[in-house]
Amino acid sequence: MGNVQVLRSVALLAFALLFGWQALRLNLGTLSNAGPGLFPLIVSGLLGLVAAIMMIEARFEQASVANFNLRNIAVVFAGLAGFALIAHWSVIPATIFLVFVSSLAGSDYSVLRCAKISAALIAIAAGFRYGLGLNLRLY
Amino acid sequence: MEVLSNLALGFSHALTLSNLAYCALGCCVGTLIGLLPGMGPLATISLLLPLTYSLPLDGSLIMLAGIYYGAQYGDNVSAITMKMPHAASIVACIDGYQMTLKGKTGLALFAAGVSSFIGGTVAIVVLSTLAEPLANVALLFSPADYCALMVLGFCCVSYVSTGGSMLGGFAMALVGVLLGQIGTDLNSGAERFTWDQPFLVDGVGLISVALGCFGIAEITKNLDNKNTFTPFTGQIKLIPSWPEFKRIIPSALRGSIIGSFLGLLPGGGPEVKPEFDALLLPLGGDQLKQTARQIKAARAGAGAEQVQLLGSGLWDDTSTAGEPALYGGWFAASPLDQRRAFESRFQATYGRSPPRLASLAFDAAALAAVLSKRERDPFSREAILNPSGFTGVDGLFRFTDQGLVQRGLAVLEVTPQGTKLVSPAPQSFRDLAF
Repeated sequence: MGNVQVLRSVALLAFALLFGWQALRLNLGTLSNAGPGLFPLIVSGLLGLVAAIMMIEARFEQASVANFNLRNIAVVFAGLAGFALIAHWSVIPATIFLVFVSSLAGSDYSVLRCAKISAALIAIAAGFRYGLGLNLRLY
Repeated sequence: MEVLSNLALGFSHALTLSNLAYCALGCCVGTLIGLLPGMGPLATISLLLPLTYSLPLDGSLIMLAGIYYGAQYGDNVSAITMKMPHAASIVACIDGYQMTLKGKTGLALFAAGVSSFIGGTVAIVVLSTLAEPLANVALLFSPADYCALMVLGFCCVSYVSTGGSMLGGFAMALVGVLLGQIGTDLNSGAERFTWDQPFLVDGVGLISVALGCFGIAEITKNLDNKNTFTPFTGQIKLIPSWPEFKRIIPSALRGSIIGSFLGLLPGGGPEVKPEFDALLLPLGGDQLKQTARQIKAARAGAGAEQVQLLGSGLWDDTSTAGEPALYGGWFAASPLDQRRAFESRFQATYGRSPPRLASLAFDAAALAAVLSKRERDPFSREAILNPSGFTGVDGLFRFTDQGLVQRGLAVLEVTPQGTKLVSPAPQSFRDLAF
């Protein structure tokens, strides 16, 4: 899968480049009269520097092999994203989707347990909706 | 000893059986709601506010305080057991969750509760006795000092938050700073890193970052390691042994004294945002300067630097133009170029700069001269009330039939380099709506 230290520094470098590039598109101003882009540019420059140092460090360190279970991470994120999308429209189906999809990431899958968890979460949501008057669209 | 008698008066109201019952009830409900990950004290209070509508005034305030305290403790519970923090419980999340992993959930919960009680009590004593002298110390903090304090904070975070690598902790602190940059820039109003998405204009909330970095990441990490660990297995022993208890007290006292002093600094504590976006100061001269300075101090204290100051034409005065408390404020004034041309002509003719009102007199005379050139009926009502108005050195103006004057003014901003044009004066009344 690749070296954890290298992956980490590449991710940080990408983050720094993304924010630094965006900051360059804002007005930088001068040091005495800073524009909105100056401070983010300095911070992303520092972050880029740190990422570069980490990348050099990684050359000299014992490489630890990254062991991500990408399938599980993808499943949990798909559950969350689906929840966010469906909850726009209604909360109960979104909750059921979240519980049943993210349970796929676990090693054992029990429909009954998922149903129980969904029911408990929906009961909490209903408590907020009717007990406390929160503006939730349940169905 | 006025403090003591005031406190005694407060206790005489608070320590009735019914008020204590309201407090206990508020604490319980607040803890229950605050237990839910991501529900902070403010969210809990706004949810539970309706519960206090029917109570007497004392009771409802006391119950709200109970809800606040309970919600804060509830936050600690989700941070310690599930690594899902809210703003104030991030430290509980870092250290407390480690204790949970070692099976000491109960001790962590107990320490959080007891320390929070000790800290709250110390802070109240400090606040009620030393508030005035300490406030003066807090006002001595200048922007440079804040910057130094924040750098210190970042160094501590880099050191504390990582197991081994300082560099990694520092990198994550920088990532946090960059995430905090998303949204509207407080100084210029520019939108940063929003990618034209309206929901990013207000910035990224601490809750979303905390849930993502701690909660969700912890879940996926536990899945990776094939951990069968869940926070609710095993017994939770809430009451610590005496040696453990003896270790909690000194650190709680130490923390509460440091916290009482850091909490004094504006912007460091929980934020209370004002409910308005702009403040109009129709004042001029020394009165404006004094008021603006007081407001600047109050704005800094309330974390309300983004409130826009607005001014009237009275701000258009050389004596207030360099006032630092007004920097960033907007005011309506005559268009700059026309007025400057008038000032240089006046200077050339009379050898001194014109008084502020000279241009008004000049415009009145110019209006009379223009009207007198009309062939029929030069000073009729219709001629004076001409809806397209007249242009003078102070810009566009017209008279209404209610006896008022409407003027087309530019919007200027006070900056350290002098006034800057925000929006130019309208060229005609046709494209304006009143």
